[in-house]
Amino acid sequence: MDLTTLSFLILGCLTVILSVTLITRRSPVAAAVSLVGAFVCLAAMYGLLEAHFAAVIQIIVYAGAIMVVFVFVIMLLNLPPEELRFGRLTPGEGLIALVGVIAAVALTTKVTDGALQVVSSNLPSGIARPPYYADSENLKNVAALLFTDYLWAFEVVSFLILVAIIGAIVIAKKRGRHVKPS
Amino acid sequence: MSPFEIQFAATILKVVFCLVLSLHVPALMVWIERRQCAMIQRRVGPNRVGFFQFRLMGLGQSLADVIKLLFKEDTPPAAAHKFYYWLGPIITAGIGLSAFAIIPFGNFVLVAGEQIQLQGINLNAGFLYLLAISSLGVYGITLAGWASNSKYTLLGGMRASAQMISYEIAMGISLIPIVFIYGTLDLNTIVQAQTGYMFGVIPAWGIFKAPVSFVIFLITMYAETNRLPFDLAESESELVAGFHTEHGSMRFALFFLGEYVMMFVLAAFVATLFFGGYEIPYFPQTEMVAQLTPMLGQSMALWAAAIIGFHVLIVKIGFFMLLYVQVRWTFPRFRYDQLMKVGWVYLIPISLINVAVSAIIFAIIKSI
Repeated sequence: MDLTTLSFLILGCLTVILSVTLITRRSPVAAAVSLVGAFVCLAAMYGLLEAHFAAVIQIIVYAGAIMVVFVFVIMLLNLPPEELRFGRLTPGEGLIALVGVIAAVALTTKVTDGALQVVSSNLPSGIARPPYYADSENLKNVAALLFTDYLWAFEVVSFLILVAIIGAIVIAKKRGRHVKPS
Repeated sequence: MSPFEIQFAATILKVVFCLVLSLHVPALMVWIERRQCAMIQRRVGPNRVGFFQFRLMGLGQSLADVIKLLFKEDTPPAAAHKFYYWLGPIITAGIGLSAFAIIPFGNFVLVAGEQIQLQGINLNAGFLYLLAISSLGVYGITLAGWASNSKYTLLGGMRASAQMISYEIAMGISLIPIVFIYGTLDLNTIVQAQTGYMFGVIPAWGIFKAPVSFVIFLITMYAETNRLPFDLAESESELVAGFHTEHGSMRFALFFLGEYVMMFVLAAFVATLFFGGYEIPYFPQTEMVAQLTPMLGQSMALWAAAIIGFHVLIVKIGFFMLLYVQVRWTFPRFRYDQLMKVGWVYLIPISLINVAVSAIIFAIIKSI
């Protein structure tokens, strides 16, 4: 058992535990903090895959900006945990749970010789493309791909974010106007 | 020992070294802060607590403070959210302590034929790691402020975290021209690239190549560590003690530690990016090693150069830490709306314009 496998096992178990914590806590702050922990573990796994840039960006953007907004909102709303108790599963939730189980099974097993077997990866292989800078680091190749092959996607995503920002400002302004005292 | 084992052991030793170094900083800074503050206010400051019979200019004050804080009664509020109350100081201190690992404190040394880079960890993503660290540091303050279940602390925590995330943006954008100039995020490469000369005379330091970046980064540096003039979070005259009001004894000590260590790391970052890091201006490490090799042999020469480089870095960091203290006791603090205005309305547009202008200049220089 070499260090990489050991690290992956530890990180993987941590991520699963934190994800289960995320969906089973009644206090929303606990859920948010577990999600942050799960993101940090994910970032560490990206680091294990030598995708250092993705790891750091995951922490800066996801764990460090998006989740901070979540945590702010949850803390300012300050709902007591009792209000969030869940009862029985509604039919919609049951369907979603079923789909989740089917997806998990489909991603991890494969039918070989008429029996179901667990495989390490059910995703299509062969997506590898030759790196632009063969002897260079991960960051240079990511940057090269991002600004040549995926430039269109990059610009469209930034435009999407701009639309979301404008939408948020419009919604916030409208609500503010209703609250104004006469 | 195989090369992998040597590198592995070296990495562990380097990281432990960074950790121990970071832990020493608050101890010294407490004394420096109090003496410098006293000097600015025309009084003397703590100069009596020494060791045994020697006064030692009051250096023992830090030790006395730590012992006092260790023995103080811990009084968590009854209605506090226990886990997050406990977690807040841990995040702040832990995140800060893990940040120094990316700062290079020397070039390299040779151990058993293996070249060991004197940088705790060497990521592809380079100094983005520090931006990630400061992003995570927001959680310590937010959780601590909320978990104490008190209006003052909640307000202080929200204000501090809003301030930190606002200034993080300007900080990140102001570093983009540095990436244009040096073409890499790796701090060691950036330090090595600053050993040349501009126009033959001026050392090719980052501050001469990207002065606007330096100014913006300096300002955001103060905002990131919640130091005056941006210390609305813990402004003594306004919010009692802000987000750490209810955190007594060692919890407060951990916040204190986290703050000083973040100051240390950011000062080291400025010294590395803009002031040449561990390199002496007109006497680069390669020349130093070449001059020392006839006397000491190559391996010892590398070690001697590494030690000298480390002390050079400490001198530069010391300058910025002293600047932190001087600024704190000189300027009044910003009002909160002024603070937010400076962050969003002034710094972000200026840093964006800086990026645009730097890109144009860089493109022009490259095409010549």
